[in-house]
Amino acid sequence: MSCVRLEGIAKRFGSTQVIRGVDLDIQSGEFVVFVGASGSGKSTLLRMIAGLEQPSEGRVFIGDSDVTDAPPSERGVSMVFQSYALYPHMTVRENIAFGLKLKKTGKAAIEEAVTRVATMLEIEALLDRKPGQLSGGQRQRVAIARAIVREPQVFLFDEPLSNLDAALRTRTRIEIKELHRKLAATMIYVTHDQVEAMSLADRMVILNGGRIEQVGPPSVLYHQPATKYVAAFLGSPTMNFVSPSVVGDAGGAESVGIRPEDMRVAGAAGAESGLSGTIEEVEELGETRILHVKLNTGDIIAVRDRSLDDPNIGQVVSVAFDETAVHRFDAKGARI
Amino acid sequence: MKGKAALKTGGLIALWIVVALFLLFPFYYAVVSSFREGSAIFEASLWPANPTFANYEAVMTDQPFAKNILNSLIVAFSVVVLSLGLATFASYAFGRAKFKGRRLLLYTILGVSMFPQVAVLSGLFEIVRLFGLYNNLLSLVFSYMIFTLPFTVWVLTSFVRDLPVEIEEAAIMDGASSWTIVTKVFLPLLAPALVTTGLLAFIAAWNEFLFALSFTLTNEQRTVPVAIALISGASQYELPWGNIMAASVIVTVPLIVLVLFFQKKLVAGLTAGAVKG
Repeated sequence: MSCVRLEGIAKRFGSTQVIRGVDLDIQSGEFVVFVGASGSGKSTLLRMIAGLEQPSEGRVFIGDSDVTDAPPSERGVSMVFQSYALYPHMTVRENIAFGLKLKKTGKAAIEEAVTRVATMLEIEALLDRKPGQLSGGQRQRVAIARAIVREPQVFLFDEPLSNLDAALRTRTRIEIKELHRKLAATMIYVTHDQVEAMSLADRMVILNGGRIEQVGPPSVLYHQPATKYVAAFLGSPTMNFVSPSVVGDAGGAESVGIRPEDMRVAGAAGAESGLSGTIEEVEELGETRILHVKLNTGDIIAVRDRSLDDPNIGQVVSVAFDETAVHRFDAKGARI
Repeated sequence: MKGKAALKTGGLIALWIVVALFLLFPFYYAVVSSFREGSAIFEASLWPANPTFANYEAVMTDQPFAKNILNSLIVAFSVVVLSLGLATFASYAFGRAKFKGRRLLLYTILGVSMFPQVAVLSGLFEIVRLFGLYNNLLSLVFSYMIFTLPFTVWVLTSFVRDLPVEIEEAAIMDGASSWTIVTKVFLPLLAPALVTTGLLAFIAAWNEFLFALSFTLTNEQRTVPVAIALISGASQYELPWGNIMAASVIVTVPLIVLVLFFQKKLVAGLTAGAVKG
């Protein structure tokens, strides 16, 4: 069953076109992540689903109904903001209950609902505190609790983890994943962090300049990028784009890409493949090592390989890669 | 090193004593003078020889001073309530809504406060007469808003602008109407600013003299500053300093009490926005 459907959505702010014709179908219970560089329109797209922005063209459907002209509170969506946006003058309990109170829910029902979500998110002990007395992680949980308590059809997350420190971010990421499984709810999540996107998403939507570059499961996007943009966007270090001559048979490609982990170096120069280069920089990361190599064709590539015992800057190495791991793109950047 | 620090502290304390004396001594002398009677008022001493409440009694009995105080309270409170009420909604519009001519309107409001009172006096007088408000407290409430509204609107607008938009959007997602957002979310957050601007508006209205003198005729409609200025002695050659001092003390005390009462919020309001909480 389709839960959220976007049809021909476009958005202009004055003369600036932010979204250019987006069509998207999100299934019920799916975890979809919008990811893209800043200015790609991912947040604007989310805000149009929320109802905080009106699309200039196109329709938004949630469930079976056209909600393009409906106010946010009648769309059955709730949103977690980047800054949490808790009401600073209310206690945690009042923050969570605010939406229910406005819906004229009975006192007993509110109390029961607040207790239920507070237990689920383990914030029962904080209910009588004010947001100012909470840590960043706790505020985050309250913001999520406030979203859950309204039992929406769709949860919207706008970069909810970007204000947390790295360790907390990784943990909260897993908790959001668990929450998704527990609630079996549809979630739409915006982030600029590709690791976060890949770890959370059932399907990822990669946006570039207000257009969808590619939609699909993280592994498909990573291993079979439809465009050069997607190929370059995912993966760290980014994919090596080299001159077609590096690959024996370019197949008419304008540019070819090979991921750093699909390449290997060997110590001895003058190897049989004939591809060799000089180590320019070494990044020791513990579990792996990234070598920046200047090839004899002039291309500079990154290789993720720790097989060399003691790589030195200036050392000449031979470089090999798996022929099946080569991505080929035409002049327009589309995959061949 | 220790001596130097002590010297520095001592110097600071001495400086503050001088400042405090400079600020408080006139008021102290007014208080002392108000307790003196007759020719004792012209004695140059720091303590009244025979303290008496005669001046206070005289002020209250010689003219309807209690009524004047009540008038001042009515006018000042009405001005504060109306200004804050109007300014809250205006600041929400100015700080959040996007509409054509917003800047122009904001600067027009600011421009209103640039005219000296004397410049608008005769025009205002005509308006007051037109509405039949002459010698009526409403004329004062109306005219005082000319100078209280511009600064309440401006101060509150800058406060509203500083409030995170996401809080408002969260309230919208929660299903709050504009009215609910203003009353349930913005008002509590604006409380420090409301206290500060409200207090300043109160003081301005409480102390205003020119409009109050021009728009009222009878003693029963006068506010305190006018009443004090018009306190007269038994003959034209006598200035009843004792009565004037007693009256001044009576009207200053409420302001001091108000400021002390709201001190904490006042400071919070004056410095808010300077540092991110």
